[in-house]
Amino acid sequence: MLSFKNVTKVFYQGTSDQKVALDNVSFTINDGEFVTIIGGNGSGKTTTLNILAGTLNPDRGGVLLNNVDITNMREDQRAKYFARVFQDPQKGTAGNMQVIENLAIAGTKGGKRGFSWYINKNKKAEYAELLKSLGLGLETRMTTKAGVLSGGQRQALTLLMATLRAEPTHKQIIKDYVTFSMGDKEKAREEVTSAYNNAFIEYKGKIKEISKQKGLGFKEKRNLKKQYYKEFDEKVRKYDLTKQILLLDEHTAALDPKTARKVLELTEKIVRENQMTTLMITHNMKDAITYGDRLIMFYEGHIIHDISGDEKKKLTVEQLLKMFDEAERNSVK
Amino acid sequence: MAGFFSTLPSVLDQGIIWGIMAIGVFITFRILDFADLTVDGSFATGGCTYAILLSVGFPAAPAFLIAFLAGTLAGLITALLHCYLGIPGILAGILTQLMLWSINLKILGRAILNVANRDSLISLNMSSGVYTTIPIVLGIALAIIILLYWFFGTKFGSSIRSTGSNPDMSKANGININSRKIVALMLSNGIVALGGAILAQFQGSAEINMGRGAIVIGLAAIIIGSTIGAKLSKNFAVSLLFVLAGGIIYFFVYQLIVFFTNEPELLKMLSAIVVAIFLAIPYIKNVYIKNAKAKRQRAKEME
Repeated sequence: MLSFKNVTKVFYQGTSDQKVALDNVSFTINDGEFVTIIGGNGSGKTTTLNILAGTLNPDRGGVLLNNVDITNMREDQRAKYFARVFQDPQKGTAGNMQVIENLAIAGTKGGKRGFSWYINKNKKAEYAELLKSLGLGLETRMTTKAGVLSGGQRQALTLLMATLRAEPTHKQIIKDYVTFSMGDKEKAREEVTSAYNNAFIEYKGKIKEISKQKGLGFKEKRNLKKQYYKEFDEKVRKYDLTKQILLLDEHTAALDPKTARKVLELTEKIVRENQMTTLMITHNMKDAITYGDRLIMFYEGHIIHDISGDEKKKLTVEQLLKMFDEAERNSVK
Repeated sequence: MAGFFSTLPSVLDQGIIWGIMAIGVFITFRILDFADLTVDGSFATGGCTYAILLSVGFPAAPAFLIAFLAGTLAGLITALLHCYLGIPGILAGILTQLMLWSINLKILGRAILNVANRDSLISLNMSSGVYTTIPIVLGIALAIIILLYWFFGTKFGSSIRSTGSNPDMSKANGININSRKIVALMLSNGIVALGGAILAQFQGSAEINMGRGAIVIGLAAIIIGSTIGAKLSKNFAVSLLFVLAGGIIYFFVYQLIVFFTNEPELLKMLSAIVVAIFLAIPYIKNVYIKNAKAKRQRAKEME
């Protein structure tokens, strides 16, 4: 659950250019929700996303992730909770680096970046498989510099990178579970540690059994051990509460209509497959209606409409235009 | 002409030594995309630190190491000025360079210090026969290239490269870009200072002005190297090798000019002109030659 609580942001405060970008804005987004955000230029959409990601600090109010205040976290520290795709295709990838190197950077997000080689064989195969799923032929161009790809290819690559992160360690999972569980923290700690300990004891027991068993070859033993570890690992990963939230800032605005359509379809596919909580800014009202389960409309630093469920499904472009006109009329008064 | 050829081994030596310095500049200029003018100061810092240590009886190896560390400290000053006090990169470098001028004078205690008689790495000295020094300086250069190839291929090194290539993307991928800039600037100036130390050993003396124009030579070596090497391979280690080659070519051209003009007071101007020419080559190629070709091509097609 992601909340924006009473956020106010003023640019150029105290000068004649003073501009209130967000005026006491609050909203809450549930896990797995796909929200589209529309509004005119300067209505506060992008500022909202930048405050969520930590690029900007709010003047008042804050950002809560599962009721934990993350407002004072630096952008790079909270990056593991957010994945971003920018409007400018150049911004989401490192142009001087190869496609595979870009993926590897995304794949170590939130993890320790130490002195081991940036990629290994398994990861390379995994990334090739992922690139193949894009259907753009990028799997054959893994050593191409990202800078020479077309805008659409770069956005697709950025989207793919948005789904990646370093697998959190067991210790991290336990720690995050306690931090981000919504209820009683002590109870959560007991729950996760006992679950972890039980799984660990079970795993150790199985390993012991293998070594007692006779008639098993070295290879069979190794495979069994691997399999048991995987089972143990999966049990622990069930407690991983920190799924990435996808922040899309008009990510198809710089693309031609056909490519934009392709990238949007890819977005939908990635969001649904990974069940990612998503906030998508768009200027295209049709897209805002077609995609997502909820629509938020900004006007001059306020949220003027928040539509979800069946009401959202029945929305038409005409209705949206009417809402805009109404907001304009009201503000003139 | 025979006189010219007899200087070639020394040209090769100097080229490699300045090439080592240029590899340090490469880290900031090409990888971090940061024009770091600290170099003029940190090069002399390396030379002065090395010379003074040698004069008090230090063996060469630890003196080289301490010279390297002195360079990393110089880089740290620039990095802190830039990352935590918000001073633009070029200005931060200039400020540190100015600071270092005084610091270098303090380190050395005088404007010039002769250490030719304290030759710990015997074969590195010019007076002991120029031919023997080449394998040693080349060995050091190659070792640095191999180490850097490994370093920038690691997860940590990759994050430095992405910081230089796209800071916004790096932050969005959880990289603390300030820490990466600090490490890169320290490493870069450390290698530059090591180059200064080797030059002090090679010349048998260190002086506080030995780094003047170092950044220009470094940039020249990088650009000469990439002008020739770009088409051959994009491999990181190969491009570092070409930086080294760029240093050697630079000194070869330099020597040619010295030999044929025989006016040492014009050297600084000439070296700036050489650098300007090599810096301009890619631009001239792109803008004038390619465009002219395209124009001719269009004219032909119109006919």
